[in-house]
Amino acid sequence: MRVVIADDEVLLREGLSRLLAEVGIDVVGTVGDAPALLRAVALEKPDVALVDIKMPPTHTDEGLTAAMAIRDQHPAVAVLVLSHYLDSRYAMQLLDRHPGAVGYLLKERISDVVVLVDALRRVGDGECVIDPTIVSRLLHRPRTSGKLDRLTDREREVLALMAEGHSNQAISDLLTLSPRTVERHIAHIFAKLDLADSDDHHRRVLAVLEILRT
Amino acid sequence: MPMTARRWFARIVLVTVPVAGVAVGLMTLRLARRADTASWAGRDVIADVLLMSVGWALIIAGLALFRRAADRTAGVLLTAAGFAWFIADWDNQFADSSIVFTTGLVGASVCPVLIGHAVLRYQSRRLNRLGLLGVALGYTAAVLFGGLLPALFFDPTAQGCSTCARNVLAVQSNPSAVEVLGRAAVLLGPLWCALLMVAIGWRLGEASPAKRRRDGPVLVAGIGYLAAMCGTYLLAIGSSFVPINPSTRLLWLVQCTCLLLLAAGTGWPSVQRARTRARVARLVVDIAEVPPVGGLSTMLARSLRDPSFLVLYPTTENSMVDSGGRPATPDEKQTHTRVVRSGETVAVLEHGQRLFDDPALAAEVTAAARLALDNERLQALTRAQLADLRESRARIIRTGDAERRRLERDLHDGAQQQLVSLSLACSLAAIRAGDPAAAARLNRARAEVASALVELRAFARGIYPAELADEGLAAAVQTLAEGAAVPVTIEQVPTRRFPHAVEAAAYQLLSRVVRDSSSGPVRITATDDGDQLRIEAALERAPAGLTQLEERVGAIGGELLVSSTAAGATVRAVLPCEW
Repeated sequence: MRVVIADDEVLLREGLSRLLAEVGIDVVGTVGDAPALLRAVALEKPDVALVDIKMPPTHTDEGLTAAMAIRDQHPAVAVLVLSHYLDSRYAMQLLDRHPGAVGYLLKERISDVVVLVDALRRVGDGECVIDPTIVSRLLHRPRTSGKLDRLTDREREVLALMAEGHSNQAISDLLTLSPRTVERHIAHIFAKLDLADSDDHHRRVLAVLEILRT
Repeated sequence: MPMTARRWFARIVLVTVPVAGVAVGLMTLRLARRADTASWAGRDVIADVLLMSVGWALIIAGLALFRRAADRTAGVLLTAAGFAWFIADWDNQFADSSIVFTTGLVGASVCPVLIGHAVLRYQSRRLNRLGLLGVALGYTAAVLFGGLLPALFFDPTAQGCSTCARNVLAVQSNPSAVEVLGRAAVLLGPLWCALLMVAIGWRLGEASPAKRRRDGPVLVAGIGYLAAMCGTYLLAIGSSFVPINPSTRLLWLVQCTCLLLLAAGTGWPSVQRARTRARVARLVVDIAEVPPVGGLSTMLARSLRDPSFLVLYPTTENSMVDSGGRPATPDEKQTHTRVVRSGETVAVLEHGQRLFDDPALAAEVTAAARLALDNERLQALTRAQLADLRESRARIIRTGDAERRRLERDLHDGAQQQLVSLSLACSLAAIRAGDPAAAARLNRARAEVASALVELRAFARGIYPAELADEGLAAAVQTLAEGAAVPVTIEQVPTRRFPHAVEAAAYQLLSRVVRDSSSGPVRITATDDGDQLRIEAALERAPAGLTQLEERVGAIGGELLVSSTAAGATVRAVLPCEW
C-alpha cells in the first residue's frame, strides 16, 4: 500500500513514516502543509493520504479541508484524517461530503500500529472509519429518552460497530456472531430506530451517526 | 496712608465735595442767568436745568466712582470735569469776584479734556498710547493755549469789557497775543478731540463682549460728547472763542445729553452686577430644585449664556473626567478657569474666551454652585474610579483568557505532539525489539503514554476549549453537549463570532450548567440582536456555585439571572455583543 503522510511536526512525521515502513507500508511522501500535500497526492497518486487535521497556517482544520479536496480531485485516493478533537463535528463534516474511503481517527491511535494499519486498509478498500472513542462518547452521552433505549445491549454493540464504519462481515468477525445473526440484529436496530434500511453501506454509517448525535 | 486715615479722607471728600458742588452750581446758575448772551445756559428753564443737572450728575457720578478703589482716578477726573463744566461759564462780565473771573478764564475749556481722560481711565488701569497723546495734547491746548497763557495777557478793559472783574493773573495787556493763543487753542481742539475719540473707540473695539457690555454706555457717551465738542471747535475755527449761535447751541444740547448719559452709564455695571446676581440666584434655586448629576454643565451653560460651558474634574495630576466620570481632554481653544479650594483644584471650568472677564462672576458662580459642584465632582470621581476598576477587572479577564488560550495551544502543539511522538517511538521500538518480553513492556509504556494523552487533552480542554477559540460559541456548545453530564438540547446558538471574553463567559456558564449532573436535562437557547447576546438554559435545578460566573459575567458588563420554581429553573445571561 502506498501512503502519503501530511503532518507539520517533522519528528512525528518521520516516526510515523518509519513505523509504517516497518510494517511493510510504502510511504511515498511526507509533507508539512496542505498545498504540499495536494501536490504530493497529484504526483504520487497514493492509495491513502494520512492527514493531520491541524496544519499551518491556523492549525485548526486545514487538514480536513485538504482531505476533502483530495477526495474531490482524486477519487481514487482514500483519506485518513488524524484528529485532536474528541467531538464528532469534523468527522460528520467529512462523512457528509464523502461517505466512502474516508476515515477519522484520534491522533493517539497512530502509535497502535495494528489499529492504524487496519484503518488504512479499510479506507483504502473504500470503507469508512470513525474512531471508536468518538462513537462511544456519542453512544453513551446522556439522553432524555429516545429510540436508543429500545435497543438491547447486543444491538447497541452492533450499532457502535456500524457507526465505526465496520461492514457486516467485520461485525460478525469482531463479535464472533454468524453473519445471519448480525443481519438480524441490524434489521431490528433499523426497525427500532425508524430508519429505512439502506443498501449503501456509507449512507448507513451516516444515518447511524446522525441518530447518535441527536 | 493708613487705612483709617484713608477712610477719613474719603469721608471728608464725600461730604465736602457735594456741598461745594451745590454751591458752585448755584453760583454758576446765577452768573449764567445774568449773562444769557455769553452762554448757552441761562436763556430758558430747560437750559438752566441742563446746566445744573449735567454738572451735578458728573460730580455725583465721579464721587460714586471715587468710592470704588479701581476707579478712583476716573472718579476724581469726572468730579473735576463736573466742576470744570460749571467754571466754563465764569469768565463773563457779571462775575463779581476777580478770583471767579480768573478761574473762569483759565479753566474755560478744560472740561472736555477731563471728560476724555476720565472715560479712558474708566474701568481701566492705564491709558493706551493714543489716549496718552490725546490727553497730553488736550491739556496743553485747553489749559495752556486756551486758559493759562491767554490769561497772562488778558486785560478785561482792553478786551472791551469794562465791567468785568479783574484778571489776577494778567502780567501784560496784549489782546493780539490773546487772539493768537485763542485761535491756536481752537485749531488744536478738533485734533485732540479726534485723538481721544479714536482712543476710546479703540478700547471699545478691543474689549471682550462682556467688557463691551459693561463699559459700552460710558465709552459711547464719551465719544458722542467729544464728537459734539469737536464739531463745536470746528465751527469756531478762525476765531479765538466759540461763537454763540444756533449751531453751537444745538451741539451744546448734544453735549449735555451725552454727559448725562455718560454719568448714568457709570452706574450701569452695578445694574449688570445686580442682573448677574439675580441670574446666579436663580441658578442656586435651579440647582436646589433639581440636583443635576451631569446637568451642572448644561445648567451653567444656560445661565451664563455660553453653550460651550463645561465643568471638568481633575482626577490625578494630568487627567480630567467629565461629570459622567469619562476621561475628558480640555479643549485647547477654550479658556479654562480653575476652581481652587484650599490649594487644590477641585474643578476646571471650560468656557468661551472672555466669559469670566469679571473675576467676581466666576467666584459668584462657583460659590452658588458649590454644593452641586462638590456633589457632581464626587460622583464623577466615583464613576471614574468605578470605570477604572471595571477596566482593570476586564483587563485581568482578558489577560487570563489570552493566557489560557496560549497555554491550551502550547499543550496541544507542544506536550501533546511530543507525547504522540513518544508513543510512536515506543511502538517502533516494540516492533523492532527481538525480545517479546521487551516488546510487551514497550507496548505497556505506549499504553501509559496514550492514557496520559487522553488526560492531557481533557486538561487542555478545561483550560480553554480549542473549538471555542477557533470556531466560536456554536461549535463549542455543540461539543459541550456531546461531553455533557446531562442530556442537552440545543435549540439555537448564533454562529457568528463574539469578542473572546463574551464567548468565554457564555461558554463557562453553559459548561458549568451541563457538566453538573444535578441540572437534569438542559435546553439551550441563545439569540443575539446585534447588541446583546441572550443565553437561556432551561433545566431542572440550577447548579450550586454560580456566584463565580456571576462575577465573570458582570465583569464584561453582562447580567446573570437565575430563577427557580418547583417546575424547574432557568439560568439567563445577557451579555454585550461588543466588548
